[in-house]
Amino acid sequence: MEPNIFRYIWMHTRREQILIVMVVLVSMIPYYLALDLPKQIVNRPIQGMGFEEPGSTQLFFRIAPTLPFIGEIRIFEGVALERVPLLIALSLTFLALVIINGLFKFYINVRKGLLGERLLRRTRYELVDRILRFPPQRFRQAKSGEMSSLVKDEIEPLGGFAADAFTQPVFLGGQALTAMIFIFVQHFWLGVVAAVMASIQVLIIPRMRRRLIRLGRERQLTARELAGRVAEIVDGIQTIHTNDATNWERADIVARLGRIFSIRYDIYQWKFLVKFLNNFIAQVTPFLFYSIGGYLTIRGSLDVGQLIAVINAYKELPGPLKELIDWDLARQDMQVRYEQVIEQFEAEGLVDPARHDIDAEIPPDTLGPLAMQRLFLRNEFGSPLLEDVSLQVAPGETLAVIGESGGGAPVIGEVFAGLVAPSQGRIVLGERDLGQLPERVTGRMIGYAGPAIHLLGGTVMDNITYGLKRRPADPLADGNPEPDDMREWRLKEARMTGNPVFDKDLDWIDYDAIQPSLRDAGLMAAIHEVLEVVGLRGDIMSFAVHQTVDPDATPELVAAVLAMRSRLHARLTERDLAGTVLPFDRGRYNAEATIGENLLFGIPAERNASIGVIVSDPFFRETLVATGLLPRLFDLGRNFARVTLDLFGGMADNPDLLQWLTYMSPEELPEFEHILSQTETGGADRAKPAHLVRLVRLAMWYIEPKYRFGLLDDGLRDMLVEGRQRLDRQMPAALRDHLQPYDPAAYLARATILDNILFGKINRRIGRSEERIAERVRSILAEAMAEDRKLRDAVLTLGLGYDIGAGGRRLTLFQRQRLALARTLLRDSRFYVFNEPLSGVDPVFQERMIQDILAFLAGQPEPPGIVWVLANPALAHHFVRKAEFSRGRLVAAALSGTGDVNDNLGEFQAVIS
Amino acid sequence: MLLEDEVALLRKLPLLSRVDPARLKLLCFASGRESFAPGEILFREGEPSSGAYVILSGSVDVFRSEADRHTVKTGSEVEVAIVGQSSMLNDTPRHATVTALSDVEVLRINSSCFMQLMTSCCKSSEGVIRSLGAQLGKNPGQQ
Repeated sequence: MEPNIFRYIWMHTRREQILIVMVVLVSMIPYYLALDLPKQIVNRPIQGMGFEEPGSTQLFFRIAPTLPFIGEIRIFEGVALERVPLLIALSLTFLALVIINGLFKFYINVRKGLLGERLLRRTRYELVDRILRFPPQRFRQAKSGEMSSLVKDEIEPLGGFAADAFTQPVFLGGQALTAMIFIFVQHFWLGVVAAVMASIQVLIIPRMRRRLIRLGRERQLTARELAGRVAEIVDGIQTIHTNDATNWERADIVARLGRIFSIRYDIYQWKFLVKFLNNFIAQVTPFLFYSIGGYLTIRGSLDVGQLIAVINAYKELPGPLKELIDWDLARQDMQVRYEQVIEQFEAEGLVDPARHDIDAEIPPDTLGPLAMQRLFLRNEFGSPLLEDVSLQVAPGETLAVIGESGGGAPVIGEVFAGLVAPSQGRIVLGERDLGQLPERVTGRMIGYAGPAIHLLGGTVMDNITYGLKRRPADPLADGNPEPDDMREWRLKEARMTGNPVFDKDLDWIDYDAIQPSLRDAGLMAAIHEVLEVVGLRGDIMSFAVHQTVDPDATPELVAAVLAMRSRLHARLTERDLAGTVLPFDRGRYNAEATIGENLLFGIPAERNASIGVIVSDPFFRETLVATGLLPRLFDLGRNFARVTLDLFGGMADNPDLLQWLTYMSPEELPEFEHILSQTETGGADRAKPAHLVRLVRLAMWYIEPKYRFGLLDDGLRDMLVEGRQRLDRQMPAALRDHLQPYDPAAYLARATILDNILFGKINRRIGRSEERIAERVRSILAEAMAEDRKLRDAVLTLGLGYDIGAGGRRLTLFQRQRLALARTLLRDSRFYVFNEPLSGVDPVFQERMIQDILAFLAGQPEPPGIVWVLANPALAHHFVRKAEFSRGRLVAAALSGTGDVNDNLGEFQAVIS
Repeated sequence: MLLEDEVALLRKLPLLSRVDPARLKLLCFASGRESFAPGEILFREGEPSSGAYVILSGSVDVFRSEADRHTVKTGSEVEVAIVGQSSMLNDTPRHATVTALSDVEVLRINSSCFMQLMTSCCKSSEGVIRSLGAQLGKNPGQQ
């Protein structure tokens, strides 16, 4: 990138800069007119100059400039006006000029802002584009936090500066120069004095500023490092905690903050010292004028009028000079920032943009095998990683790469995928060098899944289709709801700032890139199939059923869920399910639900509805009193509190153990202790209302089988069911809106799909009941989805809409690994390179997944070539061939399954040493 | 059976007999009661651990495929048994398959609560270490 900021700005904004300068020049005319007009208003209509006789008139708006050599040119003769009309006319002119000036200012500022923002957009794009084109080795020393802070924050002021880069010095310099010339015209020696003082300013101040620049550079460096460290802390928080390194991190941050502070303090000292000197020089000049000019006046070589004119002119000088110096400071600051940013984004061997060309065609001569030819690879210190390796895989072949860790096998995976460029030798696809082929070709030809999984923040869908997002669909076919002119504007702006005109809102999925065996069934069916192959379908279904949906928006889904509910309930009597779900039954107490849930027998109806409204309504209390529940619940709540205090009272200093207390916060423990001391069992009628409410509310949380405190008997259960009926019968309409009662025929809007299918509580008393139920729900869901494709797509869409969090943090490692595999398998490629994609997975699972994936790929119309780097050599027999690496060399290559390791070597590189 | 009774039964286990009573009660509170019918499987060999099971009543069959050996463990009001203890302590997959032989009542020990208990109370963890040591002394080959 252009190292000089001015050349950079000029290169990209020259047309706009010139336009702005022109407009500013034009705007000067009304500006000076507006300055001149008040004098005219005062002199002519107000003081009456030229109106000495009543009835005399003056010309208004006479345009007749007098030009040298040509004389007066009459453009407009003007209108003759009397005194008062003239006053009004001139005043209105003044108003018009004020508006015109304001509009000019508005226009200029908008243009300047636009210019700055366009340049900023261009620069940011260029920087990110560079990251995308960095050679792989560049990333070894790059810290993501620093990079992003460069793109986001440090380059930000560039926009503001770009607008002023040329206009500001031109005008301020012009103003300052005019004032200076004026002084020289008045008196030569006084002009010399002013010039000398100004040049002292111009010579000394920038010198002192140099230190400021250096400090500024340091400040930026340290601040950026701080940003990088903070990012590291966030990314490595688990490592920090497990190593008990929080205090070390604190020390490190403190040291860095201290360094930044001392630099900034230094900057302030210098900055204000410079300012002081600057002001001093500016103020000392009038002193010279007064003393020298005054002396000259007394001597008679200068008249008073000239002296006053000089001093007045000099008053005009500091304004522009100060602003010029400010501009200069901004310039230096910006130059430093800019250089630093550019420096970080310079890299040897940036990828040629042609390799990222979106329209690149697949050359016909790439259809041969993927092969390494006498390939050597060294690391950055020059030690060999691979030595003289020749190895190939043809479409339809499967090759296992094995070898002790550090022996080079994983590097083979990276080389085959084109992630690492060889130091010597070639890696070719057919006749073409892999390093020369556009990524559009290599990406299409070679699918890769490695040990380092990178998922994007977003949904499962975003990630699984990531490999298909290769180019946008035709905008016409897309039916884009955005108005055409908006779209045009967006694309025009992108073009103006050197951004490519890619439209993100279009459908980027390349449907032709889906695996051929799945292509015709559509994207959803294909995803469904691939999820099955990697064993992720159950997880996605589980994401789906844990979501809540708006029943009005998805009537088909709601109907299907209700059907599944009755299907599940019909099977609840089957042997392995018996008793595992306690359905909501209006006539019976639900043992696994809280007392509160049993009483109200429903869930909040809408997003803004609240059970609290019902419980705090007098009606609720009246019902409890009428059914005789109030004293019973008071006693229960009291005992509940007593046992809880007994359990947790001594654990106050132990936050880990307090997490098991779920129905009250630890802070409430002392409050309940107090309430217990103020009340007694059977004393509901004597208790203070506040205490009564607290204990009854606590009782609402009780679940007998969960807590096993023996507080609930059958008599109370019956009373609670009776209370439930009474609440239901007598509830006022206003409260009814807040509660959606459990109705076997209705969809519960605020509950998850799973809870809607269950329509009851899982009986935890039965061993592994949750597992059994989950399995049964899954199979019912799978059945329903197999029958109804629309339902399948609806559920799948819900599951795929699950937000996996930054980098997939909301998924388990195994889920992430499988999602990465699914992403690779969804796309049709000629070759697949699997580089230990399942490290850390149970060997039994691993073997099954390898078998499933191999079978899936072998089932394609044109089976692809597969390279699988295996950490576990015992699994190599699933592949047709195997290649073993040791110390960077290919030591054995064979048809796997044959005992003779050196068989078939004619095709491979012979064993060396 | 109420929480109090479960605590009394847990105390009969050598592993937990020396744990601080207040904490034992808390562990019991955080753990869950479950029941299994004859023939139902408590857990299978190779599954990830989900805590140890204390057999409060009934008998279970413990089968280790490695040793190809069946053992029967029984719990009653007099004496309770524990299964899945080592995989809870190591957080390793299950070493055996455990099947209910009769109607079985168990308490599934909440393993994270158990670990918090150990780290928060030296006296309790010392008690557990002692009883583990005693087990080691009894059958040194097995551990």
